[in-house]
Amino acid sequence: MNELATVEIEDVRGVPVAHIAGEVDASNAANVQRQMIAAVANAGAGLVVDLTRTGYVDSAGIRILFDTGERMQIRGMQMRLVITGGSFLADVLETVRIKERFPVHEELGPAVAGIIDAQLHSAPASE
Amino acid sequence: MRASEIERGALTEGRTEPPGLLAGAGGRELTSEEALQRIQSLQRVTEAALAYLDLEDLLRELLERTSDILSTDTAAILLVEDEGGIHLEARAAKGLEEEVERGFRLPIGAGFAGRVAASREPVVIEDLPVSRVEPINPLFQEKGVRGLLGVPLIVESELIGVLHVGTLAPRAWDPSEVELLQLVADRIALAIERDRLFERNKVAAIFQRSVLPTVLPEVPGLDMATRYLPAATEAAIGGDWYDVVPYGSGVGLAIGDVVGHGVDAVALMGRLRTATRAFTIESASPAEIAVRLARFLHFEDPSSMATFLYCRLDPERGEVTMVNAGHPPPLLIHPDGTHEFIEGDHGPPLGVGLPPVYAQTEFTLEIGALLLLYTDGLIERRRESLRARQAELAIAAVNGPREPEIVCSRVIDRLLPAAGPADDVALLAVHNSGLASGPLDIIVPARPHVLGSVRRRLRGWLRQNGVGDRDIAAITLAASEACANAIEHAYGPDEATFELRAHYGDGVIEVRVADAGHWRDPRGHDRGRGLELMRTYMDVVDVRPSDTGTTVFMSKRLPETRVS
Repeated sequence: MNELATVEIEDVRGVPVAHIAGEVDASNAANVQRQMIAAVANAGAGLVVDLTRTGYVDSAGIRILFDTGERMQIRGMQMRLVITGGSFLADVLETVRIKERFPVHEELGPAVAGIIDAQLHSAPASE
Repeated sequence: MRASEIERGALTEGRTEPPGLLAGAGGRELTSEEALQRIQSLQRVTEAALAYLDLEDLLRELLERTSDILSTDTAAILLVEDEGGIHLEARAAKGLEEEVERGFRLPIGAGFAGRVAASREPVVIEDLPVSRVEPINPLFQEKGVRGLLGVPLIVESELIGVLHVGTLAPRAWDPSEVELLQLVADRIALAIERDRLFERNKVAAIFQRSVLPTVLPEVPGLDMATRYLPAATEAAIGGDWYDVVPYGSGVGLAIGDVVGHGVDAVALMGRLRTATRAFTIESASPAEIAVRLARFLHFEDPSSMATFLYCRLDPERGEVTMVNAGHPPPLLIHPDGTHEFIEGDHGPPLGVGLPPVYAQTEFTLEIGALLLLYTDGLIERRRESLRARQAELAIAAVNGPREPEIVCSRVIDRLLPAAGPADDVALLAVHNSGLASGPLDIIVPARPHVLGSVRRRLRGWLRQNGVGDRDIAAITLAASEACANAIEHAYGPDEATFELRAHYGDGVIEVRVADAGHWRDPRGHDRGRGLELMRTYMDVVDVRPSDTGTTVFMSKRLPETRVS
């Protein structure tokens, strides 16, 4: 099978990070989304989607980003994106105003930290 | 005389000729009812329905039935699991389940099962404690097994294990029971072998796909498509391979077939492919590559053989230098539709005779011409001459659009059975679309998987025209969105296609995507977004529906200074 994209899941300080490398279009978007969702632990606070090695994303790819993020929000979780600043992909995601819905970072570190922060704040204040 | 024969001799002493399956104890004729029962009971262990169970379940089920038919208390299967064939290992058991759980192993030749394995003959024991067999398996004693009957599991004269049944009371085994158990054993041996073959081939097929290139390099001026089809039958996953290696201004096209099947052939194929890439990068000539590869193959595995065909192609001039080591001749389709098989100077397959000498053949792949490399699985068929099959191949390849993707699909559809080929097949189609910056015209099947290759070709064409990276990305996104729409709207039972044409003139890139379907109103965010992206990145986007289909027309003026 010709896979245009590969999804690698990495655990960074307890936060799942989906590194998407390659191209996401109508032929593989559903498959990419399935792999992203599989990486999200039920108890976790969120998911970081790393798009710095993603060469191409079309409207089908954008749809799965919105859809995954919305599904997570319903469950009280966060999706954060990492995009190379000034890239064409950043421009495309600007066009579809993805920043209005999900936090976007240029580096992986702050994205992971954001999820860990959210986790601390949502934890019951038992102390 | 071997031990088991002595044992058998001792136990069957005094008996008359061993009666057949349908004879009863002591050789008396069975009543017709008894005979019917025997036949029915045998059918019970050979039912086709059993074929659908996985191996573990199948073995358990067969033991259950065997023990039922022969009225025994125990039944067990031990298999030769180690490479050297020195040990038997318990795989399935009834009444002796602990044997499997404990991972019971015994050397061939020792104990009861080991004796069956060593002799490859049935071993019959009427009463274990008073027999000459020194059992190794402590379970026989723990459970109080006394009567034992064991038969070898043999496939193609190779011992793969032992099947035995036992009783808690002494038992004088009837020769017809021995025969029945041997029949069951043959059936079990076959099932095990089939399962092992299946597993091996599954691994080989996955392996092969992981070893072959899935994404082809972008070579300006060339359109390429490849196919690999694993064999439909169980035993024929082979070492067919292809590769496209760009170097300097040219490209190396390789195709080959390692003789043999299974994981070993695939592994060797992977090594040949890697070596071919290395030799290509060193700018060796095709003949040198063939000679070096022959030496490499001899070093890796002196007993193996492989066919190999390699073309060095200079896309700018369309010049091809080919070397052929025992491989079927490639098909060349000229721009005017005439065709020829490039026989050229044939050398022997790699691995046949050393040191080999290979001659090169030169020909031209004109703009508009297509070269098709293939492996013999495509054209070989029993009771049909190669010449007739080659003629069929030419007809299939020539008649229709000369798009590599379509040519590959058409050839496979026309030449191979729907259930898949008997032997594996690799195909590599290369079309010289011309380096000159004429218009781009692509016709492809309306299926999502073509999107990646359409984008690759559009990017290559835009790059040739000196379009900058940012504009390439923008135009490619807009065009690909239009193509995705065309694919989404293609319906009907026939395979639909769509066409993408791109033209560059007066500083303006024009892209048209035409399909034979009708656009539906954008529903949902997704399609609306696609249109939004097209409008964002192109100056003009015009969707023109007509009676025959929908055409999207888009254009974009490029900045004065072009970045290449």
